[in-house]
Amino acid sequence: MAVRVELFAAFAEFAGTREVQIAFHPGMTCGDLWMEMQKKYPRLSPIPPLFAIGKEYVRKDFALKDGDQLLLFPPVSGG
Amino acid sequence: MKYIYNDSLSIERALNSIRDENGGGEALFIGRVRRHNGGRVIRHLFYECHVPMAESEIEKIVDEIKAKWPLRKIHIEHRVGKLEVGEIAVIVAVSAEHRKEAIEACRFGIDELKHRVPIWKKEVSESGEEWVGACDHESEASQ
Repeated sequence: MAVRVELFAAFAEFAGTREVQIAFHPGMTCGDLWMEMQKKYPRLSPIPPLFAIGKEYVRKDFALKDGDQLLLFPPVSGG
Repeated sequence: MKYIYNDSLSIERALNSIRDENGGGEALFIGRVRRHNGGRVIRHLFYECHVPMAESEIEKIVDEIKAKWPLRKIHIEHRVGKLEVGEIAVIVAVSAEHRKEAIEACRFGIDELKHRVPIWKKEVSESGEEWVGACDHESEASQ
């Protein structure tokens, strides 16, 4: 029972990893997962996250499923 | 459609791509790496990207632009990897029958790209390294 989280840019650098497994519990939202991530990696805390699954952004209240692969983005800064 | 490039971007490729016999107005935005940012002297930038989603998100922006303005052609390209000062990071090129829609669509394209597309830049300056938007300089760096 886990969600696989892929980290990018500042998140990957500050967490020291590009991928992490977070234990899944029924009813878990992206916001709940973000709370877990902040506990595990306090250095991520000040950075507002963006969430995506596949190629689509999802909201903070999006309900995750067991086995989901979540993309965790810091604020984008292209251009 | 390819939008993300690991190698140098091409103004000529963009202009050729939007050429159209009814394209009386062409608008071109070029974003280059500049020497100074927020009082820091830039050595280079490093761009990271989630390529599949970036390509998909730019495709959506292109579709939105086509729905909003009666354009002839549109071409967007963004560079990733290490870029030196003066190199081109992004090109948005649009052709339309008249200037107004070309300029408006070009502006919308670059604005949306900067707001939505999963690309991140790390600034390497004489003061150190930092990810733009993920630090105290967020407001000035995103200008």
